[in-house]
Amino acid sequence: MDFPRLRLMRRLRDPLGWGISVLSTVLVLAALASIIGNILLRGLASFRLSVFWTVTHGVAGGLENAILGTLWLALWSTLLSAVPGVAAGLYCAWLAPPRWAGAIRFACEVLSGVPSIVIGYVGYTVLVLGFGWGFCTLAGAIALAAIQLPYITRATDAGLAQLGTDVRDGALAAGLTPGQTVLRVGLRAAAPAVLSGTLLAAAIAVGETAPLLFTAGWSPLVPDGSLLHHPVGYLTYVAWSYIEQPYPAAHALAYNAALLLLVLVLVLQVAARGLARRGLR
Amino acid sequence: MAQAVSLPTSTPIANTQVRMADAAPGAHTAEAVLEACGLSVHYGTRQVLHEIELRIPRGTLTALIGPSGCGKSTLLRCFNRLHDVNPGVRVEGEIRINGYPVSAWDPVALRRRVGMVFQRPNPFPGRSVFENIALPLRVSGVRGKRALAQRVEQALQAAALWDEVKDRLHQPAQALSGGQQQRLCIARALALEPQVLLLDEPTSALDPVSTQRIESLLQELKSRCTLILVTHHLGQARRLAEHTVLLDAGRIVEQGPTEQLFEAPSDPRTAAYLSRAE
Repeated sequence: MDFPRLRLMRRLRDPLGWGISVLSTVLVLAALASIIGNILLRGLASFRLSVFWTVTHGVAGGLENAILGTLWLALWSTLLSAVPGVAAGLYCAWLAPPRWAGAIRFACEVLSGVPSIVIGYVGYTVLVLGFGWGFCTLAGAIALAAIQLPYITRATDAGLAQLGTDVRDGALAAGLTPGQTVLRVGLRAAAPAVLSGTLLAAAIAVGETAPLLFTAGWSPLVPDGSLLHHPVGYLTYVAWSYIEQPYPAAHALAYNAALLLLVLVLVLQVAARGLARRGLR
Repeated sequence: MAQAVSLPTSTPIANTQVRMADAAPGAHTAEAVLEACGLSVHYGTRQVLHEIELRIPRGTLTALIGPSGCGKSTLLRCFNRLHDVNPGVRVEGEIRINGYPVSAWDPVALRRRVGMVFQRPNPFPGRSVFENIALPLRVSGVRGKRALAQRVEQALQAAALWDEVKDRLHQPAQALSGGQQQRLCIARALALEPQVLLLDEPTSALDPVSTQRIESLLQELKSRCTLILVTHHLGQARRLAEHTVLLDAGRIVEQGPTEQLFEAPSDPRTAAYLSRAE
């Protein structure tokens, strides 16, 4: 064995490995900083408080309709995805036979891998055209719920897995039924993880554009509370569509929408992390 | 094992409200509270218990000893049908408690009469000391704040934990020390006034002081219910148990009075195991 050569290779490999790691980290952080910096600079430069109480008209105006529409869609999509998502996660972790649990986890992976535009197109053909709902809140919320569902299921599953089956067996041995064990012991103990997963899924949903283009349409009006037959506005549409318009006012509105999305996602992420940390304690 | 059916509530074992006095040891000292006949357990295609024949006398502590993986915990989980939640486990043969086959019992009612304490303390996370005991009581039908508080206090006193936690009943159970958590789990099981208490290596995760406290507690609990203790510590079995059962590779090697089994084993495999383990 040629020891001096081996030593030289070791001496080169170590800094090379470190160099690649540091460079990769810098590239990722630089890309993130560039996106956030650009949105902050341009968004804050043109920001007016009146965007909160003015609706979009033409290529200018405010974002009241888009802000309320985003929250309205996120509320319904979270309501629609949280119940089946949490139920599937609870079943998967503590009640399902291993084969069923494996099948549910695989289905979650597949669903989370489906491109969001495909989910939007399925929503368009089935809900908008098939059921005749037209572009509406419910169609958009169902499309978003399909995106949120696997995240919530996996967060619930992981939250219970962290507790282990000792707690489940303890509850069953103390005379609780399987249903009581899951709901009164498991869900309560995993609540921080479940809430954190639900908020993270909501953060992902509010940042989606493609599925909503096919299902929610677009509206310059403030949502009137109807779920069917009325299109709804949302922030990602403004960010996606207005940036392509040849007018400075439209660009300003697009950056304002991006800035508000950034803040909304940040708030949801921070809340989710806070809850997750509370769950770990 | 047959599917669960509820026994008529007039039968003594189906009535979860039967008083502890019914199971008092004095009246039926020699009577078997629990019997296993031809009990076999399969994990998928692997058989882990073979034709177990066992008789647990009422009001005693019976120790299940044997090398790791011999099937002690598997046997214990047959007594409260905890294997029912695992579809990969198949149980054959019969277990009778007070003469009634457990297969004919509703598993939830059975577990309220046959309590269990596990190797690692497993209090319900996110619930207070009080709630850890009150929840099983509440779901088993105990109503009223005063009745609940009384039963919780009785259980904590029976588990020798009351004096240590009476001022922090509403604090999280997970803030207690490991030994206190294990006594809380014992209190949780005792709160339902079980006739049989299954203990799966309850001191293996504890320090010597906590172990000592739990051993003293188990001595006291013999007057309340029949105890079945899985343990790796032969000294613990010898100190606590009136009867000992030695298992090896899923089969009973020998069972009998503890002193006799330790001092004059009738099977050479028992002598070999005891000399190896000691």
